[in-house]
Amino acid sequence: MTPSEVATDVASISPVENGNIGTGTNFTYTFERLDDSNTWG
Amino acid sequence: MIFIATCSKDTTTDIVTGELDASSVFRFNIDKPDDFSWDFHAGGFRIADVTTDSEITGKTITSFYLRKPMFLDSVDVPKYGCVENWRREETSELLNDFYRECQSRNLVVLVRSKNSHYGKLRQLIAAKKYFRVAPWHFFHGELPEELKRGRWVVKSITQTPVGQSKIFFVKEVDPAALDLSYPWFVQERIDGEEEVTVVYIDGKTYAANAPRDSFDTEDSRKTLMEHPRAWPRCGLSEEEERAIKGFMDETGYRFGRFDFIRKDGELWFLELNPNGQWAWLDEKNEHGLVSMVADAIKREDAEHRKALSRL
Repeated sequence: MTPSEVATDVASISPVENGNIGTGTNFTYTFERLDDSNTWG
Repeated sequence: MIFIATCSKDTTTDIVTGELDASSVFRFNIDKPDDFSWDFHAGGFRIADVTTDSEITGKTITSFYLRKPMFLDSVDVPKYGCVENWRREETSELLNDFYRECQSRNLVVLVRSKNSHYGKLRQLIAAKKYFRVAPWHFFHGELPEELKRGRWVVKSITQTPVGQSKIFFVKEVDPAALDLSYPWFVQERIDGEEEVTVVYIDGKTYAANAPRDSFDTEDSRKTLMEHPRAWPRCGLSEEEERAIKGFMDETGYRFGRFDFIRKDGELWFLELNPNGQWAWLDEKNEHGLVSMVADAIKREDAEHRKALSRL
């Protein structure tokens, strides 16, 4: 299995643009729950 | 004045600033460059919000709160780059360096580390002193012997999309089926009763849990996206509180959100998110989580103001 085969298509869950979680009605909600990136922290 | 580095879509910042004195906060949304002008120079800096006619300068800044200065609408970057990507990289690097400068001046609140950054590898090594930790492997090229039996889940350590609208969620896999030409991170599947997440705020904790049978996948985030709901607040034993504080003291973090699985009454460590999202646990501040974070920011900012006034 490659990473593409292991990863999950989130297009059906949340609007997606260019491969990233994109803008849409559920966008902020999705961002708040999905994102745990450290940014620079 | 507290400088908050974030983006326009960050509702956690919307929520927490509601608990702060509006006149003491300057919010910088990195994804809205047209809303701001800035000038950093040998004598200091000035950032202005042209939509509100407000500003923050080297003379008025007292604290830096790192939230989510991210560009959430990605751009397709051609092989030799593009101007939009260049603009974003230049802005991010400046803001990142400004953050580091503020950290060196002891102006950063909550989201910081006294020591060097702990990524997932270092966290797992440090965690075994304080929690149960399931066996794990970062591997490439050859299948480790231990992975030839048992049940394993695969994870990603960067949240980098893999294209075609796909991202990594935690998923059970047969490690022998993984393409060994890629780098993988797997951990033994923990068959626990519930997931426990703990927000640590400068010595205090806020814990919430959800039974694992309420998820239809290994990754609770996927279920949360499909069926959004808050997790109920739960308690921690004194021993668990001590373990969490010990881990935070060792790693040097003063803020973060832990993810655990509780199995047979014990906490199994999954990860610490040093800048993890937290407001979704108590969006309306019914349990006081927003106030806990806001109070910590205010307390640290007051210390900074006192220290600055002595200069």
